[in-house]
Amino acid sequence: MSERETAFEDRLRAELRAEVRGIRPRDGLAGIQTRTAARRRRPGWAQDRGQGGGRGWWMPLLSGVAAMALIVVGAALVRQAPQVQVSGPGPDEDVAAAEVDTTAHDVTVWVVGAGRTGAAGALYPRQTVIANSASTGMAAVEGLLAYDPSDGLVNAWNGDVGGRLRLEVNSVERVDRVVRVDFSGPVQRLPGQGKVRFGIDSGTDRLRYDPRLFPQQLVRTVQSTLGVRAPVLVTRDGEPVDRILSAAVDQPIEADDSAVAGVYVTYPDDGARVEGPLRVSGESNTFEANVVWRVRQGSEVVRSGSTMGGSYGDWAPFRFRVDLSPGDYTLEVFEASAQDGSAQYVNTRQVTVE
Amino acid sequence: MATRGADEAVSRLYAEHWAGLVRLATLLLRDQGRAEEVVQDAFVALHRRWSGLQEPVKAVAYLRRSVVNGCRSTIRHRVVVDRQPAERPGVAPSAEASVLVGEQRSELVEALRRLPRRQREVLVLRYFSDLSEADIAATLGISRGAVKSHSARGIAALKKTWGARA
Repeated sequence: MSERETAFEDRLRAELRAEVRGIRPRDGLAGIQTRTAARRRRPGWAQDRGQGGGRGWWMPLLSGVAAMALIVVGAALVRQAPQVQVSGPGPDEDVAAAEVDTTAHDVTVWVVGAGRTGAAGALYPRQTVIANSASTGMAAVEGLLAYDPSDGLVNAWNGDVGGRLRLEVNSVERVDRVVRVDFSGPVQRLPGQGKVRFGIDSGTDRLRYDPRLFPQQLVRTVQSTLGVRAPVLVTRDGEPVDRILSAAVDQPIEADDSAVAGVYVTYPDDGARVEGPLRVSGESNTFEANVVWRVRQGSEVVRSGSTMGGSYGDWAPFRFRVDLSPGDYTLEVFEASAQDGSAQYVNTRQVTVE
Repeated sequence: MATRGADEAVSRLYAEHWAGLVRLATLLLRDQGRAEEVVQDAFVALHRRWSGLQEPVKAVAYLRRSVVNGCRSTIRHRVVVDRQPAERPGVAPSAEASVLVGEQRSELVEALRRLPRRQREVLVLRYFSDLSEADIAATLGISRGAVKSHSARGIAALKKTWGARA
């Protein structure tokens, strides 16, 4: 830096260093070596070490077979259970690290509003991170298969409706003007299909599932994560299917804007801890562009208001801020029904202001 | 041989830079445990890409960039991925240090943490890591002009909230 440094800048430098001077990081080398050890199990590495030398002709063959078995098992494990965020060495990651991309992929998973809240009957986005996927597209679908909504919404692709799916995603690739997603396993139907009841909403305690939302979960997740609007072609072992999780589909599947909640919050996440004012942002497409919000502390509404977003089919971002004293709050953002003022597309977030 | 070379390079870089990178990440994340994870990820990624690294002398820059990107990703997804509350940096100051530095230090660092992400990153890289404008630009993938701009705005904001007390 060539600028003349002021006393203030010197002070900042000193205080930043003082802030972390006392930190003594734990040993990380063992963890790094564990995670990188998979490379040494590969046949090519055996050649580096002088394969076979005095240990018998079968050693390179055995080590090669063992390494291949580890890689195959590891890759299968990763497909079944992609890891959310790299958080340190683990047995699956250890074996598979040599074969897959450990880059953490940002994935937008779309989940279904359900239950007694006004969130029922539409899709809402959630952000997550998926590591150990072969590509961003694979990460998107693996993220959808793995994502477990913690805030009362439903992910049919993670077994929330009817039970666990025994699906594996084989590939996600651009082919001509579509994104083709190939699965192995019964992608056409939900497990326990006969037990799942659709379109039920007594207004009290029944969940309401519209199966047409399930294919849209996949389409939205792939499109949002890849940043494309191309339709999605779903195949099972290479053959297009005409039903997806019990919903009839026309292939390739286009995104349906009517499946998306009229209001959805992109920040903060549920469980967020914030400093200073609570800043809220999202996108909406509501009657007369009106977005209503309220903040509860316990059962008491301590703040409320409204803001403007998009309307009449045009999506537009909205944002607002709420000044709150430190404490735990429940934020609700929704559209007020034009007919009776009831809350629709309710986005609920538990937040802590520090 | 390439793997062995990567092993040796990573071990050497670890010895020289592990602690500094964890402290850098801790300043950005406010969480020493997460910081160690992010830095470990950076070393693992470097190991995997070692044979393709065009200029091994730039390995430290690669690590630093990976760490900053990892911190950014962690912050963005902290709540979704792990709902545990963020911790303060891992070591509490001694009573003596608290007396010496006291409230003002805390307020300045807290003010820095409230800056927009890019300004915070630029200031930490400049005043903690002592990087040049060019190195900061390379680390963050932005222009030198943008580094100057973020730095000036960040300093101005800090002075506004704290500078009068200095």
